[in-house]
Amino acid sequence: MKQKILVALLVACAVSAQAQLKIGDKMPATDVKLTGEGGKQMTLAELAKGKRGTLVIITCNNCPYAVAWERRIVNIGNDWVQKEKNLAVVAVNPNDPKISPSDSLDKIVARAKKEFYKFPYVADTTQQLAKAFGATKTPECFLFDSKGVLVYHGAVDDNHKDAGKAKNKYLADALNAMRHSKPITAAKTQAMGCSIKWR
Amino acid sequence: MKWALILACLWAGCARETASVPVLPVTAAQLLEAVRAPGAKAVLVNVYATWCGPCREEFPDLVKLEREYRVKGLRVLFVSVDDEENMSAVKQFLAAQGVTYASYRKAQQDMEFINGLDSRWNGTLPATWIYDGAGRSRDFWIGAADYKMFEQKLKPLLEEKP
Repeated sequence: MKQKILVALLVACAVSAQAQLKIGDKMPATDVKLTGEGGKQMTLAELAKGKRGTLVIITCNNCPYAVAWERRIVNIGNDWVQKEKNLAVVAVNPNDPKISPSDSLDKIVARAKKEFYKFPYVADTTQQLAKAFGATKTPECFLFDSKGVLVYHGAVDDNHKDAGKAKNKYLADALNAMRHSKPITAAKTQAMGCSIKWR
Repeated sequence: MKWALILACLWAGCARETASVPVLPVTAAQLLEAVRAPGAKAVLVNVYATWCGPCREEFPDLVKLEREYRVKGLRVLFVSVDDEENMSAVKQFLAAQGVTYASYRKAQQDMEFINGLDSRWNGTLPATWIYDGAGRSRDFWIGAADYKMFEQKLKPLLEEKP
């Protein structure tokens, strides 16, 4: 019986993996509480209020892909938070710290300080945001326009190993296109990533 | 001196074993060709990375499954997405897991490989597919599974009459 339940749960996980946000979908989970430094809670609705767009990056501290892209994520986030002050940027770590201890709130806060994040890097302690987004891996980028509509979903670029060798800077291109109200050429992109550590 | 000799022999053994495990570069199209190659009643494709915890967790069950069901018509195709410069680590991993037959490594840009293999997949690791003997996809999931689940999903295919 136990085995059957386990198999059913695993199958359910596989099914839920396919229920991802689609381009054109509205930003979900805007009221989910995300936890930052000192236990401070915030929601996407609060972060996005009055902004002309919201970039949500589902990421973590230990996945080699997330680590490889981290500097580029921080650079893009910092750049856009400063350059385009109307853009909200938030990095969200959904991993269960019981499975992945390096993704505890303390480690998230320490990481944001060490790597000079100028935007919130928060814990999705309930995993509700990641589930509502249909996120399955880290890193995964979701860009919403001023109306809260998903306009880009996917990777930072096409070369996790070497930023200098990336031929397609998907996220930066999407941000620039959105800024100039132009269509985003590659609105949905794919790259390898580590499975989210579900509780 | 005696220990030095034993260690040298062990190292030589490991090196030989490591060298004997072929890991072939593969594109999505080539992988699907290997899936469709005749002779199997069911084909399981597992995409993994050696540094990926859930991949490592399920790997021994996959190796055991292959050993036990090979004679009944199961073909298991392992595909590493480790970077090319890490192939020695991949070979060591495979040897340690007891994989002595040919397996694969991704030899394509992520997006080409992901989209070429299955539009339902978004690159999350590990990822597993089950195909029937005619090469039709019968199941797909992301995340780790265990022996019971693999067996439950494969048995009906392996028991199907031609």
